[in-house]
Amino acid sequence: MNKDMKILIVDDFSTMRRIIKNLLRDLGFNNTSEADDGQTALPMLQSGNFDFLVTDWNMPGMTGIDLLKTVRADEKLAALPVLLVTAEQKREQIVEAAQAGVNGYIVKPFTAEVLKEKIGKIFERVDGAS
Amino acid sequence: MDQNISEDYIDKARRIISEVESGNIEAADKLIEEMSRNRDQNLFQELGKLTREFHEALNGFKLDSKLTSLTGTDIPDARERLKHVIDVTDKAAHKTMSVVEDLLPLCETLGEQNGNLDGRWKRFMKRDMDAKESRALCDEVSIYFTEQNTGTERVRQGLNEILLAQDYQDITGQIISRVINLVTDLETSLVKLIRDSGAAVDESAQKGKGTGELDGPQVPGLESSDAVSGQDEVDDLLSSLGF
Repeated sequence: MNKDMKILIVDDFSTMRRIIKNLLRDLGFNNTSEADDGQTALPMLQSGNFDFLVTDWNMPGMTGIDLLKTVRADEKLAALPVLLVTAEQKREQIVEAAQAGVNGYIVKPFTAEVLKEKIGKIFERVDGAS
Repeated sequence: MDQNISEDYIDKARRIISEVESGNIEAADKLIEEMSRNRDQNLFQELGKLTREFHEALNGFKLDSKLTSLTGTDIPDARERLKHVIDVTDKAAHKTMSVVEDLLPLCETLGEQNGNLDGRWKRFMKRDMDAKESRALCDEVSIYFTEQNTGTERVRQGLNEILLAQDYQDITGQIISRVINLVTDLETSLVKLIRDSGAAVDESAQKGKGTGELDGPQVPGLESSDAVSGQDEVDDLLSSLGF
């Protein structure tokens, strides 16, 4: 796993973005950017060479699930690993995210260990596949 | 019409016919007069009932005016109050994180200093150090003590700031309690309004949201039946889907 990889954090609450940013920094990832919903995130993803997307689900403008679907439908972005970090915990929604091609799903509130474990798993699989 | 009234009418009508047949027109007139007096009386009773109903309807309207003040001023107030809760909690979270972001690197620096001196100090204790290096170490230890002092003082101040930032709980708790009271008031008024207007409550509408709608954070006691209880269940579900 490349610690210098470029990560985009998308959440409408600045406090949650800041928490995730700090946790990522603690895990050694310093190259992070932030967006407050899918609409702002999308142009950043399209022009920014990001290696990893961490997004909330419920946001005004464009939701995380729509952002995920848009990313998967975009030829250039389709392979981008996506981690959903959300308070949504209905089975129906988790299944929807899985079907839309999410790489990991974390429910809030979460711990630093869970974030570390999920990121580890995602890149184990991504690095193993490439 | 009342059972008694109709029996009374039939009885009187029969007596009128028999009086007319026997040629007692005067007695028949008297009976007819009696009948019309009874009818007037019934009319007054009905009017009295209507007046009472009208009065009750007016009282009901007074209740509606409570609903008007609830929706006109109290709900917008509540909206502002809840927005304030978001602001206050946002500020407290950022304040806490700022202190933490400030102190974490400081702790790292202090830790590094410790590690750095520890190795040389052990050598000094074993007398495995020449005089020149020993003097340099002594100077460094003096600086080290000062830096540790200012450093721990900064940590102490920061922890106090974090402690104080938690006062949001008191303020937001009070604001939210008031909004809960308002919602309870509103519920009472609405239930009464529905009951007074005689509208049937649609059971299916009460059951709530359809599928596809986002639930947001689960609240203890109000969990959605379709929701998982935590990260472990999310992981189980995903692994059952081949993740």
